[in-house]
Amino acid sequence: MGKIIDERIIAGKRKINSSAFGICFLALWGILLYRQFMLHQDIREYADIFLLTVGISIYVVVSNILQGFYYTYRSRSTQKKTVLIGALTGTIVFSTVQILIMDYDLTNGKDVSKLVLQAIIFLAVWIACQHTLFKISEKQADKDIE
Amino acid sequence: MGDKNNKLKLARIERDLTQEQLADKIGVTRQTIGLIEAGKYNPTIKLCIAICKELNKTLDDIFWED
Repeated sequence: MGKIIDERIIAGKRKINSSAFGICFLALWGILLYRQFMLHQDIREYADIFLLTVGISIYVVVSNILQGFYYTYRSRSTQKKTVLIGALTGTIVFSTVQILIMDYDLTNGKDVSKLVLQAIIFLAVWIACQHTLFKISEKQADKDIE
Repeated sequence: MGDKNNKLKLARIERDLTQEQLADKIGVTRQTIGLIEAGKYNPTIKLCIAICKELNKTLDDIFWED
């Protein structure tokens, strides 16, 4: 056996790089939110940051799915809980944005029913998407042991 | 963290090697050997095998707990 590369150093370096990426990623989202909601800038003014942030987010999710790491290391019940919490949080954010941007009148029955219907559709689509992503990821994870 | 790996230390001394010499032969840093001996780092099976081959010992001799 020839000389091997020091795995401890490699693991340590990867950890540092991973932390740095995590910090940058969070900072990018922070900058996006600040520009959108505090500075009220037009999206064209920060399109580069927007595309970079969304692009990285998509890359992370797609890579995890293709590698079979998308929550496949968690138990079924934890997966269900994760989906449910994510779906509910997403629906609350979606509905809040709808109320603020679309100027819904919460005293108007028609507006409220429209909002509830949209929220239900959003929730169902979110859960269906997550379920599909889990299935694809699980299939990818099983591929290696077939 | 794990317990101290005295077996590794003894096997290394038996072969009259310092941590640095053993590390050089395997291709890792002196600190990695030191941390394994101190029980503060869990090596991969690949590194365990490399250590055992260098010290002419089996995995059981060095890494199996009594």
